[in-house]
Amino acid sequence: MEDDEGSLMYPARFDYYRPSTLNEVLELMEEGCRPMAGGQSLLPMMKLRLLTPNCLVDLGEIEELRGIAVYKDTVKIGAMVTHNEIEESQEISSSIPVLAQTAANIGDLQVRMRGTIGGSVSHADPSANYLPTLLALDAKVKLVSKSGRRSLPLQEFVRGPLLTGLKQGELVEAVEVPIYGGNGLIRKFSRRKADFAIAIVTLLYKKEERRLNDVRVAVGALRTGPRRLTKLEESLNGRMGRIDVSDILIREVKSLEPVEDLHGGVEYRRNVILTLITRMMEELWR
Amino acid sequence: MKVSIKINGTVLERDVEPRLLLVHFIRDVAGLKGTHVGCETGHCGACTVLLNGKPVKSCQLFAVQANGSEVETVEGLERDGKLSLEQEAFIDNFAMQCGYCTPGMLMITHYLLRRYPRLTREEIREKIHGNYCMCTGYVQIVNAIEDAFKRRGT
Repeated sequence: MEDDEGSLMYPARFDYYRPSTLNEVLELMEEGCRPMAGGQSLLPMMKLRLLTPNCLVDLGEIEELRGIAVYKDTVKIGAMVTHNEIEESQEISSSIPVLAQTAANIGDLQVRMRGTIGGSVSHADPSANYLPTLLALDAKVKLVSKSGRRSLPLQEFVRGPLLTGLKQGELVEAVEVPIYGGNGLIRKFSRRKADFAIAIVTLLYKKEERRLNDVRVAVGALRTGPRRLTKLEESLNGRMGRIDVSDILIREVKSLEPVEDLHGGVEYRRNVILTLITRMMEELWR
Repeated sequence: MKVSIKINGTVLERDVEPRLLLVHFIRDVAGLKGTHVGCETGHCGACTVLLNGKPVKSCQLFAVQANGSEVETVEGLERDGKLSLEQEAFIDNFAMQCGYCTPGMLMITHYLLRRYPRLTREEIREKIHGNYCMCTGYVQIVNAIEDAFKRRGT
């Protein structure tokens, strides 16, 4: 595609701002300017002209949106922290290893260098790696706008595919993740590793004297946003040794609504979810 | 919009449209054709360059986002007419056929050598997921990267 000046220009024209303070960002957003974090989802959509914002505000210079802060019970991750920073962070690897593992499985190395946690949750791609993990961890999304700050639990923030609770002029400032002192497993199924998940599951569990407790099973790549399998969790909590929960698991997976596209239909994806969880539970009994 | 981008040590100041992609800035404004445009959808990694030392896909970035930054491209690898260690390793291991992916492969290798003291074969395979090669089946490329680590020493 060539424009009138004869050089290659794929996206439609837009104004670009790269302010150095959060206040300037929020003012521009108030006027309808669209925020850009790492741009790894936004840019491809603009190149295809699926999105044609007439104004972009680059968050690249905003210091407040960077940094990982570890508190007694939670870790606060700035919206502009990249997937690569999360995967390589000593603080996250020691406090919430499953989150580092989740970040390490996103896309490929180059994408992880640019893509950010704030951008990912704001984009709310149903197949995004973070969503089931953040749901299982009871994460909160911290929002800021000209009129103030608020915080939403992940399940209230993500409403469906590409659908969030963000209001006009509101920006994700950070993600707050409670520290989970147990084990975590993630399983993602995709045809090539860097592809979006066809099915994705995060499983957290604690084991004290061989007794399971605080089990959390969260499934992603759904039309509804990620979902916990609470009946399965209840039937596993307090158990010692192997039990057969396949009836409960099958019934609960049947109630899920996977996204449907050229990579797989609903029934197929339910079967993949079932297989992933069945395999993960083998690790639980070890 | 005025941008100033340092490419392989030389600062380039130009007035560009915000929608100009970094890869087109490198190829058409700076005239460095070593960085290739492959899939243009962020998958293939042929356009991989280092931005402030980190590998990025230059087709997934606007040039204005790189304002004030330092870019390294494949042209910057050789020193005083001598090929770099990773270039030598790629040649000696026959790590290319058509060569289209090679600039991207070399730049990710350049980053890996700088970032890690050593990597296992499996780790190398994981790190180059973002670089597609449609010819070699990757075996010689992974051999070359392993070899480059050996030549560099730890």
